[in-house]
Amino acid sequence: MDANTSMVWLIKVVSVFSASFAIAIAAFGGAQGQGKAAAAAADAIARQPEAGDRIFTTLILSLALIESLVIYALAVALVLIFANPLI
Amino acid sequence: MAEVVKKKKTPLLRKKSFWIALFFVAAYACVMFLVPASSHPHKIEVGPQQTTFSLFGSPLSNTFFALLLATVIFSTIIIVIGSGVKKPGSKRAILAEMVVVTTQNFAESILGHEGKGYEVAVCAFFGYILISNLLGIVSSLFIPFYGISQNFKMVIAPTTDLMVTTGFALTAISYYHGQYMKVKGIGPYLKHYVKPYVFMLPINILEEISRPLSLAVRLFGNLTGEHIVLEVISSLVAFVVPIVILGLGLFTGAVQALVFTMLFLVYLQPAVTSKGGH
Repeated sequence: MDANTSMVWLIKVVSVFSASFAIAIAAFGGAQGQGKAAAAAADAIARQPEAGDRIFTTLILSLALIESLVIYALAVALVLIFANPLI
Repeated sequence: MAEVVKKKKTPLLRKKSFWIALFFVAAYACVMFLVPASSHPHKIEVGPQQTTFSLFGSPLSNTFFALLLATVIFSTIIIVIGSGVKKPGSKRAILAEMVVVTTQNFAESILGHEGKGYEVAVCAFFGYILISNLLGIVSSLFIPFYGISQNFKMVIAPTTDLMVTTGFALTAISYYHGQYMKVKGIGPYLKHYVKPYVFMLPINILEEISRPLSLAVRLFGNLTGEHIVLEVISSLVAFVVPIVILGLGLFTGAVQALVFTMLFLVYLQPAVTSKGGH
């Protein structure tokens, strides 16, 4: 095995490992944030049910904005696995 | 009375629609089990794939056909619903009224009273993206045959292509810039880049650049992730089990279409209302 082949092999191993690790961390943080947001929204709707529509709108918006960061991690992981520029 | 009783007692086995549905399911199952086993495993790939069809010598990607299909479906629905407006009181007129009122309420819930007239853009973005996303559910019928030919990938959610979502996002953002200039004028448009203080200029420009990027990557990432999960589950058990993922896909597609439209309206808010910022 010459140096170039082993380098590609190493990059593949590190890419797969880091992609799964990136998704794991991003999902963890995103779940924490979304849980807090959903809990606060449920609390607010229970206190004031007549404002439920506006709270729901805000909830969906903030959930999307939180989730977009997780989706960025997913995009990075997809690039690492399917379209790695280093291999 | 007799009619109602007769309708209630119709057994399932004597219903025509039941047998038609069963025929299609059985035919699909037979076709799927007749596929040679060696062709089942396929390499999972993301993004647009080449098909065997080509235009002027360059091969066309599968998302091109998928986007074409979504366009045809969406325009057909809109034309059929819209043709009912000429006949007031008909079912189609009521449906058209429902669509318009719902989108109007949605636009006005974010933009306030200045939101009149934006229901057209809201309806276009929401409907087109929703139908594009829901094509990803139809694609699950064709996943077992991906190993045979690339052409089975032609029915797919076109939003799994970053180019398509970038097109949606750029359309939304250029509409926002155009409306800003039209409603408030060129001067206030240029002034909003230096709004709180002059040294905020680079941050404001960066924000304007990151908006279409985040819109495009969010839609692309969600739909691609869903499609990869669907492909992985279908390559393990191809017949009944993916239905669970299909339910999730229905939810994801609807929510992402809603989120895209909602963010579009939120970006539009400082442009067309007297309230500043969001």
